[in-house]
Amino acid sequence: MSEWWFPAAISRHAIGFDVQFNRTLVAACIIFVTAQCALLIIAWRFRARARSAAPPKKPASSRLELVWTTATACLFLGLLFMGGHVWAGVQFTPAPPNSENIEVLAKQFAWNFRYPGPDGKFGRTDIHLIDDAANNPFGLDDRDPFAKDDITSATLRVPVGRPVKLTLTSRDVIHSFFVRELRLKQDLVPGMKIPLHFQADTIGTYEVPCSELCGLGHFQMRTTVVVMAATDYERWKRGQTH
Amino acid sequence: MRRYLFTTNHKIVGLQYFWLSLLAVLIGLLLSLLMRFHLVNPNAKVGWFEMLWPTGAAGGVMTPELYLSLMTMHGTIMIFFVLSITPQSAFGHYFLPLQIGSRKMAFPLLSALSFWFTAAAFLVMLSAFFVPGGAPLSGWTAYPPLSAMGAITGPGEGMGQTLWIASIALFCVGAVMGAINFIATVLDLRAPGLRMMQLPLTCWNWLVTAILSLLGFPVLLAAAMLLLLDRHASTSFFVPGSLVVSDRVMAHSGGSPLLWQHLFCSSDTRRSTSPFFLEWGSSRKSSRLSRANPYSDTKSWWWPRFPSGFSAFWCGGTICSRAG
Repeated sequence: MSEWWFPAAISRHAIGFDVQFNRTLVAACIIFVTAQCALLIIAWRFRARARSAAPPKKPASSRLELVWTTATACLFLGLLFMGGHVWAGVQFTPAPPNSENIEVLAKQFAWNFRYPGPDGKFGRTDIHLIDDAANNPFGLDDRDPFAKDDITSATLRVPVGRPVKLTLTSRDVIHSFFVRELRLKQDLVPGMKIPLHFQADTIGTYEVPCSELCGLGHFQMRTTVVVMAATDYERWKRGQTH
Repeated sequence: MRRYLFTTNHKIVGLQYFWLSLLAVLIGLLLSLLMRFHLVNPNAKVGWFEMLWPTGAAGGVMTPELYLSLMTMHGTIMIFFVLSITPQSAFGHYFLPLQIGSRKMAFPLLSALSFWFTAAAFLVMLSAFFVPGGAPLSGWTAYPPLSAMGAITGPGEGMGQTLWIASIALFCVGAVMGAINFIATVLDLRAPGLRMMQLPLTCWNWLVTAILSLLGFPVLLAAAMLLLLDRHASTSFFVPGSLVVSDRVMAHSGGSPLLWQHLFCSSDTRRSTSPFFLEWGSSRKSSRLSRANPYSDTKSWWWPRFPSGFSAFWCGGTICSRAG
């Protein structure tokens, strides 16, 4: 079944997203099948027959048209309202205060993630210090004491069952952060710092492909998000600290 | 030849638009087939690929940059030169005067000019395939900064992208000419005694679409000009500061990539509503004609075009503003 449907949902938002999707799909299917069946029945029932008299012309019923147009509008707006509620749960609500802060930097054609380290603060960066060959894609300034313990990684690692706040930015063109299992997709726009929060509830490794055409190597711009047990996550962070 | 090429007859201009869009859909279809072929046979060597694209398909094997340029050009051709012009310009030029009892469009010369600007735009668009670096690979929406910083962001983003923008600018000029013509024709050239409320719904659809065009395409024209300036005059309308591309700090500062999305989407809604409107109007009209009562529907059903069209216009910008 999983090959034919969405991958498993691993967050509350993802479950709400799936409920809304299924609700919309069922409503659309019922209306589609009903309309097509009615079309078939009417086409058969009122088909042209030899020697039969033309059916009497009936005046148009504006009331009937008004009813189904209003019903369609109500259904559409209702689905829009419910879907908007799910969407706003991520896009218009702030991250919980105990969230794990992670900075996401996209560039042609790689992902980079930065963690604040034991001091809990991100260090200063300078674009003139950016050096991919020296493993400094953020341009961390070593003269800043807060920058010394910052952790950078090409893989996103997050603790299970704990809210995570990402701050998304790009250093060249528009990219898009997409995790299917979280049902989350958000553009990374150069010049902007865009917050996004989630809480993954299932341990595992999930793909993060760039989902905005970003140039020649777009197809190979992908990494993974590793959802880890809290103890494993803390152990990993301690192991990364300089 | 002159009679068919440089005519101002609305029927022939409509047919010119129709044949242009038919050619565009065939080219768009071919590009789509090439993309599918590559997905199925990524390493296949095809001799005529190399003849057409000596750099993009050296040795007859399609390169990733050629694939992306096919995708970009397929989307652009289908959206602009098929979806945008077939329902409005082709069918509209041919049928609008007939449906309102007029012998011609309000500005026949403008009809011809709008077609030739569109045809020129199509040729400029196709020429992007044959310049050094090839056609652009930034997708049919050409989001900056990818489309704004030149060849440093990838092959095809040099001259190919410049030609793409020039083509869209020409297309916008043609679309604005057409919009003015449609609005003036509906308002001024109706047969004596034919009131607006008696117009067939297709005419209402062409009118509302023309109004949306007049609101959207000048904005896209301005956006295209600003993008050209960003590329060739070192301005920063769509490019923010502190960008590092291929390990080089870019000189731009202060621009916003979202500005392009706002401006681009203002015309995007016009492109998406026109085929929907035409289908809506013609299906309702055909169902009503079967009752030999062609005008009764217009009285109550002309008005939904306005909230539909303008809400689409508004929603396009709003959705774009949330894209970031």
